[in-house]
Amino acid sequence: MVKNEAQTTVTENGIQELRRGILILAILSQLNEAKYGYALISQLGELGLEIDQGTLYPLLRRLESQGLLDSNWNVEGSRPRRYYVINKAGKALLKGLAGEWRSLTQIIEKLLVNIK
Amino acid sequence: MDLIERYLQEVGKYLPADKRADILSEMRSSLNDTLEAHTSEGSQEDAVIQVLKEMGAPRKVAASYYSEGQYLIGPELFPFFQFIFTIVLAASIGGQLIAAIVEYGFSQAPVSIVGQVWQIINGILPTIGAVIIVFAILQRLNVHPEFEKQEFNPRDLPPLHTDQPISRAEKVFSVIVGTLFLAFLSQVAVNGGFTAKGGITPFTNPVLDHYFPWIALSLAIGILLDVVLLWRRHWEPPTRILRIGANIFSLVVLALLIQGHTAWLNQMGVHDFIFTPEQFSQNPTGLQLLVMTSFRIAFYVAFIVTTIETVMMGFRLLRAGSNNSVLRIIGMGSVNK
Repeated sequence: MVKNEAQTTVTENGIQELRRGILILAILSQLNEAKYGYALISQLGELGLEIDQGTLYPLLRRLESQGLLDSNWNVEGSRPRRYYVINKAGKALLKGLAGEWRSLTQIIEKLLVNIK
Repeated sequence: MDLIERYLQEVGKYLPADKRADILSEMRSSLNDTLEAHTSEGSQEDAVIQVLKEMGAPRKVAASYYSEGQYLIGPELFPFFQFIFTIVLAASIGGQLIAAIVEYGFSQAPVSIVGQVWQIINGILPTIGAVIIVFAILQRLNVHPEFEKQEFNPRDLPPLHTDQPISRAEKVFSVIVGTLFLAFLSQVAVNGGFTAKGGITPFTNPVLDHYFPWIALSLAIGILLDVVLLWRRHWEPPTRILRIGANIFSLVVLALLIQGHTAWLNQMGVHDFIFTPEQFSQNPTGLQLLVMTSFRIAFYVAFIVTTIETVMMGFRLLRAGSNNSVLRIIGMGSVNK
C-alpha cells in the first residue's frame, strides 16, 4: 500500500515536472491578445490544459519580470483586473520554443513507439 | 467575503513587501472571478471555502511567488559560503587553540580545561555567525557570483588517486589518542606535575613543563591534520607538504625535549643512556629519575619514527611531483596541454 502511494507520488511529481516547461509555451501562445488571469485559465481549460491559479499567477509574474510579457491594470469591468499580453521578446521566445517543441514531439513519438 | 480577506491577509504575511499590495489585488480579483463562475450547489461560504482550498494554503501560495526560492544562503552562493566558512572556521579554531596554548604556557595560576574549551567555543561562534550574516546579506541583495570565467579544460582535472583511501578507523583512532594525550599533558600542566594515588608526592617533569606550549601546539597541528585527512580521504600534495612541515616542527620540539632531558639527567649525575642501580638507589628522587629516563627514551623513539615518516612522505611527494602535481600546486603551470 505504502509502495503504491510512493509510486503515485513519483508519477505525480514526474508529470508536474514535465508540465512545468510546457506551461510557459502554452501561456505565451495564448497571450497575443491581452487577457487577465482567470480568462486565461478558462481558455486553457477549454482547450484541455488545466492550470490552477496558484501556478498561473506566479508564472505570469515571472514571465513579466523576465521581460517576456507586459501588463497593466484595467478598471473598466466589474472589478479591476490585471491584463497580460506577449511583447516582442516574448514572441521571439515563443517562436523558438514552438520550433523546439515540434522537433521534440517528433523525436519523442519515435522514442515512445513501443511504449503502450 | 470575510474569509477571502482573511485568506489574503494570511498570504500577504509571506509575500515580498514591495509587491504585496499588487499581488493581493490581483489575487482578490481572480478569487472573485472564480467565485462568480462557481456553479456548485450549497451556501456562498461553502463555495468560498472550496475556491480557497483549490487556491492552496497561504504559505504555499506565497512561496510560489519567490521564483528563485527562499534561502538564507541560496544554491548559487552556497559553494562560496562553504569554501569561505571552512577557511574561517579552521583559522578561528587554530587561532583559538594557539591562544589557549600560549595562555597555558604563560599562566601562573592553574587553568581549567573545561573553561578553555568553553572559551574556544565562545570565540568561534561569533566568527561563524559573522560569516553567515555576511552571506545572508549578499543573498538578500541578490548578489550572483560569477562562476569560472576561464574555459573549462578537462586536461586540468586532477589526476586519479592511485593510492588506497586513508583508513577512517586509523585516523579516528589517531585523533582520539592525540586528543587524550593532549588532555593528559594539559592536566599535568594544570596540576603542576604527575600525581599518583595513595599519597605519593607528585613529582614534576621540568622539561615537559617548560616546553608544554610547543608540545601542545605540535599535537594540536597533528590532530587538525588528521581531521583534514579524515575529510579528504586521500593523501594529496598539499596535505603531504603540511604533514612534512608539521613533522619538521615536531622534530624540532622532540630535539629540544631530548636535549632538555639529557641536560637534566646530566645534572643528576646520569651521563649514560640509562642510569645505574646505584644512581637510582642513591638519588633521593629515584622515581623521578626513572620517569625522566623513560621520557627521554620515548622521545628518542618518537624522533626516529617521525624522521622515517617524514623521509617517506618526502619521497612520496617527490614521486607525485613527477606527475606534475607539485608544479601545479606551487603555480608553475600545468603540463600535458
